[in-house]
Amino acid sequence: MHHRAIFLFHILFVLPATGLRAQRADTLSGVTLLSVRPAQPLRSSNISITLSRKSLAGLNSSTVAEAARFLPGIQVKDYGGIGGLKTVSLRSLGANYTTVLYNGMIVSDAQGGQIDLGRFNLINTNAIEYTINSPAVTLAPARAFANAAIINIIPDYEVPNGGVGLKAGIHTGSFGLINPFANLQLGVSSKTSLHLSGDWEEANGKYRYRDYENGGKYKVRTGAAISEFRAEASLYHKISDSSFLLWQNVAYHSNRGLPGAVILYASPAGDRLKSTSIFSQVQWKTPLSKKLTALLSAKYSKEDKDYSDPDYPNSARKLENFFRQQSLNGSAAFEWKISHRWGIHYAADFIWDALKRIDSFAVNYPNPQRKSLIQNAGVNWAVKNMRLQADLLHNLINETVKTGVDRNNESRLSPSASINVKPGLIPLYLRASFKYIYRFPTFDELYFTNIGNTALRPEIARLYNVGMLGENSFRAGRVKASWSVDGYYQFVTNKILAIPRQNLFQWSMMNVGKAAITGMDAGVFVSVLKRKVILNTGINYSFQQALDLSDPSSVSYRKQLPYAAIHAGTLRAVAEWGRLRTGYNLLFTGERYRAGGELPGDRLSAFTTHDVNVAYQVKMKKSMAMEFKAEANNIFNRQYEIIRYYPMPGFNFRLSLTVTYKNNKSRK
Amino acid sequence: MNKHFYFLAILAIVLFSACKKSDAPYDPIKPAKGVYVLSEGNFNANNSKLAYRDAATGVVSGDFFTQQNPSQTAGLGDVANDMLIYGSKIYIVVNVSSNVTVLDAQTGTFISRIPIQSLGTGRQPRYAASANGKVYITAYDGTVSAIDTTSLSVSQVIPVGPNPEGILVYNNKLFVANSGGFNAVPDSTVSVVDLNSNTEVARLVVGVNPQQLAVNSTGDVYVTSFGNFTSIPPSVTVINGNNNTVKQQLGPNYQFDHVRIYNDIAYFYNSYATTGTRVKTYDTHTGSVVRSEFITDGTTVSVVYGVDFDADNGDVYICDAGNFSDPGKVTCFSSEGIKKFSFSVAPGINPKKTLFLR
Repeated sequence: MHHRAIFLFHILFVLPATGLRAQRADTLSGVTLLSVRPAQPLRSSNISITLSRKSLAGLNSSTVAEAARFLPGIQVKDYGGIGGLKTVSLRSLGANYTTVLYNGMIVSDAQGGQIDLGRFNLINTNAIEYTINSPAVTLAPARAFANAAIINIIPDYEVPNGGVGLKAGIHTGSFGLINPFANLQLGVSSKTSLHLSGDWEEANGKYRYRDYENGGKYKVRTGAAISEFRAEASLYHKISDSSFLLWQNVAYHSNRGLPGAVILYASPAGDRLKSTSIFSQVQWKTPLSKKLTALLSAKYSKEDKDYSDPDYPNSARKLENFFRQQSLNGSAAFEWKISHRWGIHYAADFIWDALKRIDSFAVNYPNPQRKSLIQNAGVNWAVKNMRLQADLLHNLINETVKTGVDRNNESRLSPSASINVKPGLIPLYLRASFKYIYRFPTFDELYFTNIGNTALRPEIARLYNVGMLGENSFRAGRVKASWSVDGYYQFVTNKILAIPRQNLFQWSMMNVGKAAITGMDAGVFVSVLKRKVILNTGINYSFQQALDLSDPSSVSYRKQLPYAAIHAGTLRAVAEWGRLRTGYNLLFTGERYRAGGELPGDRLSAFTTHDVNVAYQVKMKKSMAMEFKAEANNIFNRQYEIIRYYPMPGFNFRLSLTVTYKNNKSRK
Repeated sequence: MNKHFYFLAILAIVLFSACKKSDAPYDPIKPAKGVYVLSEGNFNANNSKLAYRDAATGVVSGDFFTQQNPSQTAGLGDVANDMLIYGSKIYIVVNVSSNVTVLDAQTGTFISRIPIQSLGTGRQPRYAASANGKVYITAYDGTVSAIDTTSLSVSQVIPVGPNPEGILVYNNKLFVANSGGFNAVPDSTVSVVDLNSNTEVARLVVGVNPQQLAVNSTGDVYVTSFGNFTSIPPSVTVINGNNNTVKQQLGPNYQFDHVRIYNDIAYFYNSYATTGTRVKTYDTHTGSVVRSEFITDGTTVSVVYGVDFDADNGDVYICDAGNFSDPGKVTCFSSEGIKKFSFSVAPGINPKKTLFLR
């Protein structure tokens, strides 16, 4: 039972923007190295949303995890507080079905498959590109085509023409937060630029929550202090208009307390997690001929996760789980624009992942190594009113272990296709897609001490989506509205669940799950320009019926999956007037259940949180500007939980001061 | 003179019957008014439950604790592992919440919550046994806490071996199974504590990762062990409780991790097994098998998570944890292994212990 607690921890451990009018007002000054797509491309055959820097600034969010709450179909599992782990899941599939890209390259976690998006802050993020099924741009590594949801974090590489750009500032606020940051962009030559950024964050993590034992009183969440450090050093070289070389190096370190679930009548846990990760990735995009382009990339990453429990009742009075992951991958992707109608894309990735357990409590950990060859071949066809994309993905996996028996090689073929049709003359588009995904088990599911099961097979998910989208403009273009409605059906089999195994004390992972998830995601985004005020509003609503079909004899059969809310929604509104910008955000999550079976004692009530923010810019000299920003979150001090017994903070706030210096002559 | 004689005679009979608890004909036990069933709940879910089934009506109150104590809105706590009735009170050991919750046995009314902690950190208590006005509680931090039942507070802490689990009282001594289950190499010892001096007087070697103990009327203490889940299977060791020596290991036909004894018959079972023998019964005097499968009518029990006995009629109550996430149930069998009735303890998950209210 106690190994299970640590394993559960490891499991944990992964408007449509502003409308077209505001997108023009949002034009970035200087040169952007990496183009940002329109907020919701109408011809996209899969859901595709981009949150630009302006939109991100209005979301009362400091990390990518918090911003992800506003992506349609996405649910963020937040374990509470500024240092609480946050993982992201699409349409109740689970965090393992989300691929995270950093500027187009995979951020991998072969150990747990769950990237903690709280480690990517928004200070250095230029945009978040969110797509379902296929990456937004088909010239991408093969692995970008493998999953259900793709979140691409595009860093802020704005470079003033051959000059210097410096941004520095500090955040402070609730939880004892101090977060200074700096970002330097240096035009080394007319074609080369250097980017350095860093931020350091300290917070005591304390907040009040309503006492579960004595409803009228409050307790303070302790043991949640966090200390984080991020740094990036990157070099960009523009070879020509259609080719570049980009070398990025990113480091992250954090040391945080993990108080865990609130245990009634007991003192808080003193568990701690130290994470250190570094990665270095190189991308070279080059035309091979007039019609053929190649994107060659390579990446090395290393991540240490050191988890410790100082109350563990063994002879050392401590348990440590220190895992070191390394990953090396190389990818060659090609795009061949045969004609203005046809295109073919192909990518092959070779990936090596290795996991070692290096603490003194490890006994016979198998130190697995996995070599994967992933290939994707696809075709695009576009005519005036129709776009079609079809892909075939192949996964070949070989795994070896230091102790124990090697698993057999795995080979799987996954097809997907999508279509977008404009049936008439009005701006209304219909889209449909299907995709089969094989989700390979993670290292934790296969090998974790006493719980892993090396006989696990991949999960199989069949995803189907049909939708409609369009846009309209009124009042001579001063009001623009775009909208979308998508209905989906997802059928997952061989789902990996933790269940008790015969004659074993600890639980084990088995392929016994089955789920059918049906739902709808709808959104409307309106952008208004009146006199000098720009107003952007986005509303998302989602409906979901996620049924557990695993065990007909269980109370959970044909009942809603744990934590799947039937209704959920978000509202975002930003108003800009000259130098002043204010925003309001609302998040609604309907009733859901802590466990399967929809039993009354497991019900978590619905909740709504409201956030507001205001920012004001001051121009200091020709090339310097200063921005003050104040954000107030959960302004009605709603006491709520996302995960049972992990209370979320009530009212909290953040203040920011940012100074920017640009030595160039662009506007702004 | 006559008055004194009658008084002494009654006193003699009472004392005589108190010394011979297992000798049923001399000590009439009242039929149970009802049964309490304690359910662990899930780890870190704070959802332990106490259920009560009325014997006359058969009505089950799944969350009896909250029903009788509506002001206790948070419930019992996290992972309630064991309980016993001593005197007029029920003592519930809540493992992860690290306390002993005391209720009035007749009404289920909350009396007190005794923290089992050391310097503000929970000791993580596991099992309980009672003697001499005290309730003794094993805890994972390697201790036995003695709770004084008049003051309802911990009066003494006795160090034993690592991660103790089961505990019993025999012959004014405590026998404690030191599992050592949190270490890479589990322990394999039983601590013997003399209750006159409250100190450990012997440590005996038994099977690997010992869990539960039970004693018969002549002092044979049976100890069951988990083994190490790979090369070493579960096992049963017998200790002579009178002179603190190991008598024998029962051999490969007795690979069980839990044991209960009633009327000198041992009931062996595996608490996480979903297939195979449910309960094996064994005569502790003759050393022979009574029934290799106690259940005779083919009734299925998914997971035998607890076995308790109604001393009034010899009925055997078996707790079924099912799939460990759905609510559990309890089945009452006659001593011949035939199902009499069964009931769900919903919303309780992982029912473990049954007590009889008289």
